Amino acid sequence: MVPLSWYVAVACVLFTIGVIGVLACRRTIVILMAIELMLNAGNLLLVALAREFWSAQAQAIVLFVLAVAAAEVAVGLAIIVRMFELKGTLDIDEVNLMKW
Amino acid sequence: MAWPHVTCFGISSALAITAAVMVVTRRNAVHAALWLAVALVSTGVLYLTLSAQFLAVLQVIIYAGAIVVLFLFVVMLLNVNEDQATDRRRWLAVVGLALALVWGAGTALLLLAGPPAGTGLVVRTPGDVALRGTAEELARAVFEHHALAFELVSLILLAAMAGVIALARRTPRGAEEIPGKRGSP
Repeated sequence: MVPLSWYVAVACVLFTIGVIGVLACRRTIVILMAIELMLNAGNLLLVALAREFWSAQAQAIVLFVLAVAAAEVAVGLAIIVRMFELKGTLDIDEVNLMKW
Repeated sequence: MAWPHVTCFGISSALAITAAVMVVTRRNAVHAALWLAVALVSTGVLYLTLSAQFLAVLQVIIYAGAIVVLFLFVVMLLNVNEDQATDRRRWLAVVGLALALVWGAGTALLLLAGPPAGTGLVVRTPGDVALRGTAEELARAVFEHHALAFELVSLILLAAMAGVIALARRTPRGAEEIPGKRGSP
């Protein structure tokens, strides 16, 4: 059995890459993909802890996260399509209508 | 440690991290979406090494199947493959990268320090058996303990569907144009 800490390290690295994507990228589609990466890292951590603690409920939470991620992606992509129709760009910096 | 497990873990975690880096660095959005699929499938393999077989199958079907296809659809629908952004806000990306690295270093330090003494998470009770990750175990966990959450998730999906339909409808004629649209007269 691979020890738990290795999985925690991998999940941490994946999550940090997701944070980098959200903070440093300007294209909205890539930002959504980075959010998916972060959700994925959280799921990996949950599954690893489920094995460690013999808890099927942790795996059940992953199921719920999957469903919520699917809903989030659908709504986010609809917003992006709408944004592109209205503003003609995918750059997150151009969408500053509600900024002070 | 059994070596097949370790080999499998090493290959798939290296693949997942490489693919995740590719997702955030590629300039072509189609390539980014395809690398996202690679990252998600290799996380599915990691689930297999954690004996979560049902979740691994779901990961491939939902994430790598449905979600990546949705991303590809939108990228191709909008037809903006290449990054058109100018470099006038390069410093923002640098600040974002620095913030993310600080965050990552903080998490790593916390993980290295471990939990404070006396707060150990011991939730294994006598009579428990090791997980096999089958659909049966998951169904028991969901429907015996989280039946309400299950119903709420179906509501969330319904609300998301209604919201997407409402968002994706065309603007009614005569609606006000958003100022600052690129390329509009």
